[in-house]
Amino acid sequence: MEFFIQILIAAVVMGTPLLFATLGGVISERAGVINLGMEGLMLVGALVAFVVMLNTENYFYAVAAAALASGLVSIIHGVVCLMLRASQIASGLALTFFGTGLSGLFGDKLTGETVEPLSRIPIPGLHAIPVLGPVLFNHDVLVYFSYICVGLSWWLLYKTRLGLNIRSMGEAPEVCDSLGLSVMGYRFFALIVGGMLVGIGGAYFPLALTPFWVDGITGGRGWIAVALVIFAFWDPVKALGGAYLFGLALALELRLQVLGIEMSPYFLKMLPFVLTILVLTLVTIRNNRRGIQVMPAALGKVFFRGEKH
Amino acid sequence: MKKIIALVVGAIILIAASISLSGKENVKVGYLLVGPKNDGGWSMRHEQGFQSLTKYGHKVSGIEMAPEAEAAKLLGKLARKNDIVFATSFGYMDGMVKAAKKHPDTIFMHATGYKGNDTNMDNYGCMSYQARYLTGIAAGLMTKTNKIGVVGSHPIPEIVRNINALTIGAQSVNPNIEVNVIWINSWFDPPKDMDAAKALLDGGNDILYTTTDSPSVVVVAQKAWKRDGKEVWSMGNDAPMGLNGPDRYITGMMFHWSGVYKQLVDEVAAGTWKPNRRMNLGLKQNCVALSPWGINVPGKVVNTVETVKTTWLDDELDDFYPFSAGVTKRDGTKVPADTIKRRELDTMNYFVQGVVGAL
Repeated sequence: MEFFIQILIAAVVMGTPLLFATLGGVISERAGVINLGMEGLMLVGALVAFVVMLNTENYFYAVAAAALASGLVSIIHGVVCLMLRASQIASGLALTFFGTGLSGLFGDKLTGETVEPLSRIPIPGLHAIPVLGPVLFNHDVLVYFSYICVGLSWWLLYKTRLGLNIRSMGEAPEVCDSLGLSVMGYRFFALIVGGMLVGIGGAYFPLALTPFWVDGITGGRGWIAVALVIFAFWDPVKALGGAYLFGLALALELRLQVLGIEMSPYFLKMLPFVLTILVLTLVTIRNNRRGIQVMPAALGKVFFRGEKH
Repeated sequence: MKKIIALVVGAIILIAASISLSGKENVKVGYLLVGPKNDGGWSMRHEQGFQSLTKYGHKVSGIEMAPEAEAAKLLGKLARKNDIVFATSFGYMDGMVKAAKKHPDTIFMHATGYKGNDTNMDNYGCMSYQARYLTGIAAGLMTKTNKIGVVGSHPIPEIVRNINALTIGAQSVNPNIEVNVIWINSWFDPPKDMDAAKALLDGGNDILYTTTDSPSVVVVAQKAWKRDGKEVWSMGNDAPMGLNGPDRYITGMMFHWSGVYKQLVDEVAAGTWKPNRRMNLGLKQNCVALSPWGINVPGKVVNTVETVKTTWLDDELDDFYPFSAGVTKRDGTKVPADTIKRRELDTMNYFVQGVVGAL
């Protein structure tokens, strides 16, 4: 039982950076902007958080700076694919390579430096609940903040005028445009807010998971987040489940070995992606029958003002 | 006049010929690294080895984080521009065999593998298990729970025999040792590294080893002690890692590649390089060594380990020790003394008794 709980705790911890990044991806893709640059944005966030933490020893500054930096880098993506109307796929991929290179370049001198990782703060009362308590309510502040972000994102997207407008941008930008809403403005907003969340996901690596700097600190988790956005069907609450499920796969790979259960590591490594394809296929078949469209209709499409569609 | 010109031309040709015959002064060296050149471990040690060649006027150029699947292509690219090309990861082996065939004028050297050819490719390695054995003695003396945890990278012969060596070392001073291995199936994945180290910690292991290229276990041990007061120690891998967790660092196996690289490149310069040698260097040649002892390691432990090391350096132990003394496999079969040689080490695919973990 103790062992079982340890696995779930690890799943939440491993899932947290994925959750932040996925939420960020959900928000920007809901507005119709694909962001394949998440791995790059995470690395930028990770680097900035580490540098700020090293110099100020203040977690809040580190997280804020990471969010800000990734938000700024997202603007590049916006300029290229929203203002200049280049391919979102190409721009996103370029963003990943840019972020990877940038973090490598500036991180070069930081190798070997360490910071004090975030400590666990059990939530009074709640952490005593059997199983759920230790699994969900005995973590560092960023994990709690990720819970809040899930709620906030859901509230923003489904309960506010702003969210309705953002979602509309991903479905029918030409309609929004004819209503006098600024497509570019809303998409930029969603992209930057999304980018900030991805940056916080990146910050989680040096601030909690690996409190030292190594090149490529995210270990490719940004790509898992790209798959997760689809897996979660562009929904912040499903993103929560998806991130922990993928976190569980990461945690299981190591802990199954402790139990002496032999399972091919390559199978577990590919599991998140197989699941994504599987769920996408099944749900799409079901939705097609019912005539429901889950994917934002205008996702990845370049919006030209005044052009007939 | 014509005679003089002919003489001068002849002299020039002769000098030029003699220069080209005696090889090159400045060798162009290309290399592949599997991780980032500043990973703080394996790749960094190789990078430092190659960079040391520039002191002697040689030109070095490397590709870091080179995917193993693209080895043949990348090595071909390096071969066109260089006199000698090194590949520093096991997974580059078959790619290098292909590239060596395609580029017969370049010399190819593969680290940690076992393939080569009769003309332009050979392999080289360090007998890192010798240092692992020594660190195992320290671990066996210092553990209180009798459980040693290892974050394993890939289950290949080199790593398997290193884990066996440290196990035998620990058992030599403490027969109740249990060594727990968790494979992360990657040379470099820091978040997973950390998680594996924590899982080992949760499992009661109080000495943490890693065979991956980042200093995760050293950091984990330091934090566990500082924050939770856990009596945990760490061992470094490939490079000195003490700075990442000075209070709980014991020692570690580390490489010195500069000597090997200087020797090989000097041979290329002199035109004396030969294939089919399969260089294998150990403690005595200083290719592998112990990293500086941690500040809190008891003097008694340091003395015991350094004494064994000295007997090795004095030739009282052979190159294949501890394996040359015979081992007992996990399934109980005994491998008699003096049967494990280079070939058996290169293909070691079993754990010795005392190791727990998938293989």
